[in-house]
Amino acid sequence: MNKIKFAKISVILMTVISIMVFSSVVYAEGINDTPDVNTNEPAYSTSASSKHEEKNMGRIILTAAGISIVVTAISVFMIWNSYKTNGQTEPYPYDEKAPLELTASDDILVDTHVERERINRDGPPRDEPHPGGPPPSHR
Amino acid sequence: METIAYKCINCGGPLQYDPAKLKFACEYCRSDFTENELKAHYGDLDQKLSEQSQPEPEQSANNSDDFSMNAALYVCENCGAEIIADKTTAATFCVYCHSPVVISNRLAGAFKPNMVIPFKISEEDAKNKFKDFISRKWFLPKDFVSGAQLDYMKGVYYPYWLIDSLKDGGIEAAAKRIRHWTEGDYRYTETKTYKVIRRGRINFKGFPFSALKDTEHHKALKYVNPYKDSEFRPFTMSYLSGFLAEKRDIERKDAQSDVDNELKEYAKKIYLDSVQGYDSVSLKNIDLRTKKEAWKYAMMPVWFMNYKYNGKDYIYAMNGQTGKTFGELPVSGGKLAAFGVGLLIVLFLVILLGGYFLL
Repeated sequence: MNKIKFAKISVILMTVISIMVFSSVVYAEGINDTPDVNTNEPAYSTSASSKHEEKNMGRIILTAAGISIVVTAISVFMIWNSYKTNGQTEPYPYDEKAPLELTASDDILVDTHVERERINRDGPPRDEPHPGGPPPSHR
Repeated sequence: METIAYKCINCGGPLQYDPAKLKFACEYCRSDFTENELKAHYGDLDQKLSEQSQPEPEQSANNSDDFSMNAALYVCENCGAEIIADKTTAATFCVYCHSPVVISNRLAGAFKPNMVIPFKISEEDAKNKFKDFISRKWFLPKDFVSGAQLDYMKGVYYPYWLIDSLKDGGIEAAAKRIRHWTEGDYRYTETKTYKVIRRGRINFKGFPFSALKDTEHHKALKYVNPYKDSEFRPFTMSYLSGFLAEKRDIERKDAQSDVDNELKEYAKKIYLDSVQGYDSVSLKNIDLRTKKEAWKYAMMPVWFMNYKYNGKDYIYAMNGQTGKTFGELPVSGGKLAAFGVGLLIVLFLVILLGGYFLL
């Protein structure tokens, strides 16, 4: 795939990912920030909700600006870089022109190290079947 | 004998090698000739070059500036004009009658190439390929894509050393195999470290190394490779007729250490590629010895273009056999900036609207 095509696809992907990430972040923050609604309050008391809307809109604009700048900067850099190094591929196909004839090959085990990490503190310990390798040895 | 101008056997017009026809063509009477027909007419001029033990002394230009001190004077066989050629030029055109001229003196004795790959891509095809190459490049400056710029494209034979080298040696590396599994409340990670040894012989065939000191073109001359070995032919001067050519100015002894270093880097990759089945491999040590080596001197075809933009030189090179291109292209700052601003505005609006309506 040439570098220009790669740059175009990257821009599209980054835009889609940005929208998804941005929307999820804003939506999650919206849930956290949603104030408790008191049903006994008079209907005309909207000052709290309008302040919340302004704060949310401000956050949206800021995040949109930030993501746009980052994506644009990366795209511009990738395009510029692709123009600078056009065609810089492997000049000597060594896999075809330089065959290796192995005369000795040795793989010596020098160390075995096992680490374990606790993963689940809640609830009773799960009894998972051992994948079938040698039993773990602890150092 | 200092220069040779190959002339049409029928009408006496200048002969040039035509990559499209794979023959030597006369643009005046439209005749074309094979290599054997030229040899039958001219005799074996290349054999005479081989028999010359060393080049004849050259007449140097009389001025004292740097270029002139390294330049030499030749006489055009066609019109008698004096041609000034710099120290590495081996084929050129007379500036007066535009006849192709081969400076045979510079290809004599030890400087006679062993092999040549004739041009396979004609000038017209090279220009068309270049137009295709730049057709989808939106950010090029407007004048880079003009027809006038294409006239600067020149076919040049460049000198290369081709090295066949049999190396013997090996590597020592550290390799790791990592395994994960879960048991009960625990996640286990087992790391096994191995000392890996690989020994063997690597037979490098036709490793190309530019034999020209010109550092400006060095990268281009490296990355237009590879060439196809199957199309090498024994060298004959007639292939240079109609093109520019450069003679080498890097001798084997001067290139030896650079070649050894490059081959060592390739050897590392080759030995490491033979280490399979590990999650990570790191090289600890390599030793390499040369068992046998043969160097050949070859002329390889390149379509070349220099372009100046904003005071900087840009080089475009195309392999004259396979069409592979290498080049650093100028970027129009204005076009790129306009694209950047446009993309920024569009992205901003899309993300803003997306965020607003998804809430």
